[in-house]
Amino acid sequence: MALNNRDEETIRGYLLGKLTDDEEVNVEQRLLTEDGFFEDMEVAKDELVEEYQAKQLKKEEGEWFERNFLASPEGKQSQAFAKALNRYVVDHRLPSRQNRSLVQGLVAFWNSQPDLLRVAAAVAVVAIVAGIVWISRAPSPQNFATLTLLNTASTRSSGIEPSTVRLKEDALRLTLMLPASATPGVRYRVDVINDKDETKSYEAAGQNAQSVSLEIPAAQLPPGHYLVTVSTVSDSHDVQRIPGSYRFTVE
Amino acid sequence: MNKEPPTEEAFNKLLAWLDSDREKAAERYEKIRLRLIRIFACHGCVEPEELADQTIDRVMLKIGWLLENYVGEPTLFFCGVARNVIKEDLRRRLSQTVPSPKEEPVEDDADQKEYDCLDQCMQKLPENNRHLVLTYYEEEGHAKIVRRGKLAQELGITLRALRLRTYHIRLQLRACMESCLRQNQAR
Repeated sequence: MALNNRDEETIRGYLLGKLTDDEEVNVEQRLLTEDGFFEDMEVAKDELVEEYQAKQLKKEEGEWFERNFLASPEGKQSQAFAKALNRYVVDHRLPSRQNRSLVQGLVAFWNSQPDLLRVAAAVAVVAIVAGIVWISRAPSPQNFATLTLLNTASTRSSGIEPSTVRLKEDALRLTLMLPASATPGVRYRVDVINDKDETKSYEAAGQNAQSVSLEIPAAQLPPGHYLVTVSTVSDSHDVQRIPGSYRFTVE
Repeated sequence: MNKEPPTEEAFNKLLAWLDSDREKAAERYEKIRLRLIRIFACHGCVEPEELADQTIDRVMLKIGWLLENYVGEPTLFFCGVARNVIKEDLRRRLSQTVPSPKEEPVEDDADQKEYDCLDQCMQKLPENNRHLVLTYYEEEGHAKIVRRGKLAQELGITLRALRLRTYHIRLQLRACMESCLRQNQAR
């Protein structure tokens, strides 16, 4: 019977303890009756030993594999063989690999990383470059409208009339008074929610024991009602929202 | 188990149940035994061969009933019995303290002997197979996967065929290495 990717996944799942009892029974029945399936299981075991030794398995997968297949005499032999083979391959690398230049080495290192990591790294590089370009090109706001807002927890009312601002300036400088009960944070994150329920997060540009301030470009504040919340951010990146909120309206 | 071991008559009946041709039946018996051993190993059983024999013994004890009543593929019946044996073995192991493989001491000397034997065995391989193994294990991580894909293309075979080809070479190498280690031990 022809084997497919799903069979490979099933076999891998069987060896890593990810199948249900019924699925395990099905695999074992196939192992006893299908030569191709049995052979693929043998290949998969070798490949998992290889991945285990290269520490490429997830923690829980590695632990399962250790407690099961690797604990058997066959598993121990497989591991010993894979270890010897790995050492042999390193010691007898093909000449093409030994004569690699630094650039080829870097390319090989790049290629050796998992897909996800490579995509993440590429996205990060693009984001950094885009950020640098944006910062160097975006004009800094020249003039500001200012608004100082009290926290609803301080005023003990969420029904307080929101402050209104008519934005003709380049940006709005918001000063948010912190409630007396707020625990000071290392940094502050400010979330601005518009009346479509869309949230934009900002890092506070200034802060002291009583308030945090930030500047929001006017382009990001079309007319409408806004709700603002403030959270403290600790050194370990724990985010703790400060009770209460702030409201304002842009006309 | 306190039950009597199966008789020779039961063994003959078992073979007859597996295939009417005794030679084919014997082959089938060996195949089932080997695969049961592998299944038990996957479950971390410390004595998979003994458990495979225990499974076959249990089937043989029921052979009279099976011949009269069982309809279907005989190997599937072995599978059902093996599941029970696995569960019993797991219960037994859980009630004992089994040292984790991590806790075992690292044997540098044993590693070196294995390496030396493998080195000898690699030299006995035909040059194309030796080259294939070295190329197959070149690179690391994602680059290894890419390399293997290219290698399969170069050889004009599917990736699965390449995996099987290298698996058979590894089997050959393992058998050679184990025989070399046994010989060294006997000296």
